[in-house]
Amino acid sequence: MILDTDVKERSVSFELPKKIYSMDALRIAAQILSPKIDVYLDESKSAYEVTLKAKRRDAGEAQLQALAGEFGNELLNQEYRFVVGRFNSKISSLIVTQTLMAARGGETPAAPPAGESTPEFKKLVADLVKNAQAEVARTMPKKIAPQGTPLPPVKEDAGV
Amino acid sequence: MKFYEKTLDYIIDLNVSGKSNIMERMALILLSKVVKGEDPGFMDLRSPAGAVLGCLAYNYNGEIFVSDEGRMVDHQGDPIFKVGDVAKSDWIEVIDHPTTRACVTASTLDNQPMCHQCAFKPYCGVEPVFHYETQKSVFGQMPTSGWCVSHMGVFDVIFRKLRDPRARKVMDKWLERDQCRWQESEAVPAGQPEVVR
Repeated sequence: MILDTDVKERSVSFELPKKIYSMDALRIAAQILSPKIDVYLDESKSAYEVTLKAKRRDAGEAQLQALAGEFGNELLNQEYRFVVGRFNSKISSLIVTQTLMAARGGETPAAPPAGESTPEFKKLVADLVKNAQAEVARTMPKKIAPQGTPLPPVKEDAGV
Repeated sequence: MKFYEKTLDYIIDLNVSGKSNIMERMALILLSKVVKGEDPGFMDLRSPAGAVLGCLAYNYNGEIFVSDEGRMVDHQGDPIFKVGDVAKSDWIEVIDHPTTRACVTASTLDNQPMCHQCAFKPYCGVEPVFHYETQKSVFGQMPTSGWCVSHMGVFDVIFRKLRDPRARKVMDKWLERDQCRWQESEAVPAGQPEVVR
């Protein structure tokens, strides 16, 4: 991949062959890296022309190259995931369908117990929910302080 | 991984010398899968993962999330893992929710690059919430995932210890003790939840 970096514009451009990379993979990679970059796309007959613009104002040459590497890694990951998905589609569809069907209770899920459909029971539940909602509204602070992040922010030069 | 192996060695030494009967819980979970071929009911190491299928998290205000980690993500301002509300949703709505489907699909190892051909696939699993938080996608990127690095490392250590007769003896003892716990709480048929009294 030949990289063309422009530090002043905080951008890096490169070409990707259409034979290898799909538009779907490009879109997903762009979405995943959207907190760090804006992605601009153009295309010729045989290649996608990609320009990444860093959101960090102090992104230098090394950071731009790292971002291009990170984008390339994600692109490859998505493209390979499509290949794996196609290759194992029968078994994975069977597993996912069977799992969700079983969790759902089969094609005809069992009806709730008879006692749960009486008007008395429904009124009891509605009253409980109403009480709980009123308690939440009464006791919760209107504004919760920012909770921070559980992990340190990803370093800009992470990637290739 | 060096730290984990050193810790496990220390715990095994304590058991061999008779100073303590302490067990390493993560090792025991993996040993139950590897040696006994049993499911210890650990939600994160399943394919598909236990999100919704094996656990749900209820928030104080009635919101339902795929797991407790999903609830924590909401607490940071991102409600992506919300799958219902106790006041409005029934079970069918929760299980049919697009987020539930996405989590189940993403955590099925046959859909994952690397995982689908990994030697540890029968015992492993991936966690969609972890990967969303660390890699911004429920599928994640396995070759650079911290989840994959740490679990492959732990599996390597466990398999190495299983080849060591001294460590194997201790591990077998752990499994025996774990078996006793199950027997005390009566045999539980496969697929049935354990009733804790």
